[in-house]
Amino acid sequence: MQSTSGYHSRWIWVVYLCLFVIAVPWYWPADSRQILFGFPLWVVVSIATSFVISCYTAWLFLTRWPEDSEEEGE
Amino acid sequence: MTDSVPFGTGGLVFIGVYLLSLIGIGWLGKRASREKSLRDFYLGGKGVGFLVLWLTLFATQYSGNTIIGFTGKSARIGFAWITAVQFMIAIVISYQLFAPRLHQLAKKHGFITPTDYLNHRFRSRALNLLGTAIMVAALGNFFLAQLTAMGRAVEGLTTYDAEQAFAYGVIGLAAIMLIYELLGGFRAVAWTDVIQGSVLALGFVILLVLIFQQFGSPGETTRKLLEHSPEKALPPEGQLLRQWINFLLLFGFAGALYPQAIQRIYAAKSSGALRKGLAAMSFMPLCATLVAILVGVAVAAHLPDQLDGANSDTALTVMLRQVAAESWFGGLLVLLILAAIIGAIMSTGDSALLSISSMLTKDIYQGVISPDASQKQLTLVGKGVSIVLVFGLTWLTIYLDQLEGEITLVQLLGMKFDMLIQLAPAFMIGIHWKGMKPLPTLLGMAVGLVFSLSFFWVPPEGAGFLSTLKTSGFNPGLYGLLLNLVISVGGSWLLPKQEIVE
Repeated sequence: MQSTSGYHSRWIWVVYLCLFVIAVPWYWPADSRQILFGFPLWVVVSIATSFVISCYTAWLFLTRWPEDSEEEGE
Repeated sequence: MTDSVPFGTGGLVFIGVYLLSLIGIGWLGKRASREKSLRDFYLGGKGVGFLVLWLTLFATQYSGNTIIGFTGKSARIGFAWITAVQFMIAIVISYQLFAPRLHQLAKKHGFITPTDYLNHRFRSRALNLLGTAIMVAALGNFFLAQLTAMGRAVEGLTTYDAEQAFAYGVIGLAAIMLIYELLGGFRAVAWTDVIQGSVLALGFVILLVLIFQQFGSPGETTRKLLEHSPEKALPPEGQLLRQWINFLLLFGFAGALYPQAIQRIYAAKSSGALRKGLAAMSFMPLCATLVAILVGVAVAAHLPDQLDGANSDTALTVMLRQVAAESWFGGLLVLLILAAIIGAIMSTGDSALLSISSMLTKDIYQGVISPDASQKQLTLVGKGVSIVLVFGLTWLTIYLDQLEGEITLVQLLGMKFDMLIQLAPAFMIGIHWKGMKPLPTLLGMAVGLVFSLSFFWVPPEGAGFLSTLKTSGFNPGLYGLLLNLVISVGGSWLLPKQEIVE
């Protein structure tokens, strides 16, 4: 297994976990009525974090795709 | 018919030309065919490059359900449906777990169906059969849903008797799909996806513009919602929140395991095309799913009285009717959106059809019945299977529409994600961990499947443990997956190491 490419590194998934913990609106008070750009604030935060997740995912695909290897004799 | 958006002759001619162009592409696909082989028919030979791959992934994954179903859902529960944006991204993330290695193996060993990988990895006939059965069942239900959506789209388009319009719509669109698919196989499907994907993308852009044009600023929408339906604008909690997480996990894993998606991993010409295609797909939920959600929320805020409580799938129709009534240009835009919807449904349906056909032909016919059949024979069988499938399922779709009640088997097959997710350990863990063994994997898959499906009969009001699980907000498939993992991973770890015989 390569160490500088591929998706086995636990740090990749730790970052994902942190991002999803922010993106899922579990921590907002039930009556949160703050508005930002015309949308409920929790919606803006959720969507903005989703965008960050998308960027992170795209970056991972483009930079960490494992090179074709002959590691297995299959 | 208050739900219809009637069109003049011009509109129907436009749709007619659009549909005929798909057959034209099917014919082009036939001409590009190199040989009569399963590889050529089901994967387009050497495969497709980045742009075609991206558009076929997009058009295949985003069905009529995204435009019609999601707008309806967000009209019902409001902003809480933003979970859909996240689970669509989660599906793309799941590909990191197995796509690179699977693509490499597929190119090296010439995989055509997902079961080809299972066979290569585990060498267990029982596992092959179970895997194929799960995928065919899940995809069969999925294809049925696309056919039903086709009928509904035509039903809404015309002012004819609903049942008749539905039946003719299903038959007509299914026939066109079958023709271009028989002609050009995967090439026809992928190339028509380029057109349908582009029209779909255009449809979402138009929808986005229309939201602002029809309903004004988002602030107005939010204010109105907080006024008359605050639960649609406030943060989700309790059951709704658990469901958010449930969908992330269930769809995130199961959505990546759709056979036609796995076959697109195989069909990528190179790893470069695949990685770029998947990178592009990471952004599609924000461009497409989010737009659908905003439409539903806007309609719920501004036109709540027009939403039919029993069937809020008409949330989109409510908005489109309003736009079409304003001006001829509005009518043109609505026509484009309807073309996009039909395209979305057909592009999803044709991949499902091709995929089921490939599995029945390669994994069942060649795998079990006639292992020595030639490629030419198999291709013919494949086409025959497609014809039987379309005839059979079209009939079933029309029959079910006219039925008063529901058929248990059909409802059972509606648990397609709960079924598909049982394949996750085999594909996502088995592809990396050599220690994963056939017998525990097979057992885990079977137990997970049976356990999940058995929930169908568990009463939600009961006092038992299973009833509690059923109403927990988490799908049975996730509980089944837990069992599945314990057996497949635990069992593989505990069993003595086997010699791998090549």
